[in-house]
Amino acid sequence: MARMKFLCDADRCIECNACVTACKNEHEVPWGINRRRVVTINDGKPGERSISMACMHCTDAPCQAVCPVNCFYTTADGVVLHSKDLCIGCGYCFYACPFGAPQYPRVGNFGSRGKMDKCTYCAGGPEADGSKAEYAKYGANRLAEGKLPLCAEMCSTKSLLAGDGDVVVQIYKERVAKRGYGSGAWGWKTAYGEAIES
Amino acid sequence: MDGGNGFRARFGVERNGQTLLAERSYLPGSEIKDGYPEFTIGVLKKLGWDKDLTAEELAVIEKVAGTPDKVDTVSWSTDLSGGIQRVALKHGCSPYGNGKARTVAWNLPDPIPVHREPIYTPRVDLVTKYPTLPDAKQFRLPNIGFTVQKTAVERGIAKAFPLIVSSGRLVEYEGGGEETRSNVWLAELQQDMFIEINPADAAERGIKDGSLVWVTGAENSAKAKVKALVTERVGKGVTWMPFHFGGWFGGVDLRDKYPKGTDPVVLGESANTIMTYGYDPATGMQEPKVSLCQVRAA
Repeated sequence: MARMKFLCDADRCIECNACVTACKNEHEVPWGINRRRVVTINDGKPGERSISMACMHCTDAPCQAVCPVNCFYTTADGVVLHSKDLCIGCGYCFYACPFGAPQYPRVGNFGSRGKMDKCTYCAGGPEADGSKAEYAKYGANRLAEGKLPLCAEMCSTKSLLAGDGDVVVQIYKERVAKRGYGSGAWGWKTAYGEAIES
Repeated sequence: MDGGNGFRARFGVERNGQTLLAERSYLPGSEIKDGYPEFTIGVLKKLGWDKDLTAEELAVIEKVAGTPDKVDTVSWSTDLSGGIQRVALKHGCSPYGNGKARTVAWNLPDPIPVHREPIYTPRVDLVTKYPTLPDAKQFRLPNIGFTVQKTAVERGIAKAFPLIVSSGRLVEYEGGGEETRSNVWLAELQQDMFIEINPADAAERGIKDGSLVWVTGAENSAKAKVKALVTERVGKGVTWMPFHFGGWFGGVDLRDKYPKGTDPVVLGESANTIMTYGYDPATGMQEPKVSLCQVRAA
């Protein structure tokens, strides 16, 4: 079984936000909820870098560890998903997540949170694959159709890679070896507990 | 023609006793193994290729000529039958001729480009040495750039509007931005019209990053209310605005003026509000992308 991972090559991201838009379009994500976003560091200065961030589908995911209602589960492909039927919108996962991935719709006054929403690796949720109920709660299930997440598929510079961790790392290593530099696959070690040795 | 053609023989065949046609250079498969002028009926006749024209093509060419004595002057570019082009291509030749490229454009005001200060320049000291070209009629319109430049210097415009303002494109946006701003997924990415300003210029004016500012332009008391993006991406004395916004004018939100259901999700001041008079002194091309401005906290 493949272990699905995301890798963002910060030397290639051009901050075009196509990944963000592709995600919004594919899953009908409402205004103000960002399953994926592009973060720019040192904006306007020499050494400016952009990275595309979403749920990294961590190994031993911190969100899963802190959830009081146990709504998270890890699929056989290593994708971290959650059940919106169980979620109580407590926000613990948001504080635990090193990537700021969990998002909450505002459902009332005084900042009360709705059920958590996050990147599903285009793999839906606990409902039957491709069902209407699944789409309404979690968006499209591309993985069940044998397709990879749309954000990475859409990436014009192939900065954002998605797929089996071993394959993705191999592509990244070859790239770094060929061009002779690599500022690192940001977030990889935090998410997967191992460095990419090159 | 596979791989492209040569240079158009656009400027005659000879100048100052030197040929303007290509020498020892021609297309593969060309029946003329040298340079040649643009194709006309006269040229076709000299080559004996006019016999390749069909009766229908000749009838159209005679109609274009008007009178029989002018038939020889009908060119590939005026022949509505397309026959001259067809015959030239049939013989492996480019209908527009086979000429040389030129670096001296003798029929333009500056045969070789030289520096000329912009009409609205912060470096007024350079205007005397590098003025724009004299006022003239270009094509069908007047270009009064020289007068505007002189007046701007005399009136001290650069003192009142010391910052260069240029405009440009955001990667998230397309063209004027109306379509992009009408699509919720794209409109969410850049929700505010802004002006980039250097930290030194912002500090002098007490402007904080993300705060609202008034941008004023050098003509027609132009003003626009936008957000400040304080960044080192622009140098001191330079500002920059995206040109994708519209729907605000002079600090007023005009959303209620849109026909029902046609207002984009995101509106903002148009960068063009601030821009000023200016046309390229050689081509007459308008210059709406750079001028002078002043910025102050709103």
